[in-house]
Amino acid sequence: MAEGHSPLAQFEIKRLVEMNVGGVDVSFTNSSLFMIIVIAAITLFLTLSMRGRAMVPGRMQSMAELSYEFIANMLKENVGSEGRKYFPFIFSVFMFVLFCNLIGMIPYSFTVTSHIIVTFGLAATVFVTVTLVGIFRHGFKFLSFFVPSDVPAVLLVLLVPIEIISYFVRPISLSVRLFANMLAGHTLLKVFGAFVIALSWWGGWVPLAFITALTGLEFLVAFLQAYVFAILSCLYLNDAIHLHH
Amino acid sequence: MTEPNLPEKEEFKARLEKARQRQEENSWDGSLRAERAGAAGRAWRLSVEIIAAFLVCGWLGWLLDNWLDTRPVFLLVFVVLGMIVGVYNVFKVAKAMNPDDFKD
Repeated sequence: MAEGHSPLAQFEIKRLVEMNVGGVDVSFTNSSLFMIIVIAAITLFLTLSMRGRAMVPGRMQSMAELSYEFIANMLKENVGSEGRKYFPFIFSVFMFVLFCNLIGMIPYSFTVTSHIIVTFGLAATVFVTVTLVGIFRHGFKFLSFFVPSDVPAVLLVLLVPIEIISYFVRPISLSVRLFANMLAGHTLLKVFGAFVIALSWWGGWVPLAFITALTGLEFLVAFLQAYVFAILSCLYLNDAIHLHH
Repeated sequence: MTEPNLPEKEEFKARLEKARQRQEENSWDGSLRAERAGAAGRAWRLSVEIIAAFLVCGWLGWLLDNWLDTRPVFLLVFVVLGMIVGVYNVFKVAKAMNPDDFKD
């Protein structure tokens, strides 16, 4: 019972299947399990809902179509027509983050995106992909991205290092934003849950009402952070393709 | 009905793509419309921008200090640099969010 009382116990990584490859711990953990659940849920959601292929979509089909159009429009608005071929990438990232966040909202489940190493892995993938796209498209001209236009030459000595640092800050800010939101939200829910028990039947109603409202807010945050993650990926992609600020 | 020959088809395809691109470029006004949508999303973008720059620069300075054994010279230099980069990033994001406010 005792380990259940810490508000941080929900983030604990548990090894489900111990595995060791060449001295590196590659155990199958509860985090891995929930990632697989997320992938399965996305696959089931998209394939089952589109199985009918109705002209007039039903409830599930319109949800699948809505998520498709949401990302397609996001790419069109932020990257333009050249962004269309990167749709599979952005869509996969968005759906993965969204489903991780939403499945984490189920009581007793595990929130994969509440670990910075997971969100950093995602952000680093976006960062490396986008940088490679920029280099393959523009070659050496890609470096001109670090030289701001219409700035006097004297200031360039100062601004170019700042631009370079701010470029490498991107994966950190992208991952910290998602991770901090999920960690803070889930911790807060647990803390107020403990207040309900501590204050018992005479005072527990106040934190209980607060938790109810907070749960609604957390669902909003789950969507919002997936959206922010996807749109920032789009903006970075736009920078790499069009090389302007 | 006869099948149109291949070069004609290719040319039509190219023209269609060009027209589509032109239409899309005209409909895009350069500002980030979706970005304006969520106020909370905007707030999160700006606040984390400062913290992330600060953390990354501080970490870099700390690494350099450990490597060159010059504690705390680089840490201080990079922390100040981190503040500058953070504010610079926020300025850039804010400019992209409200391009009208930055016109002279």
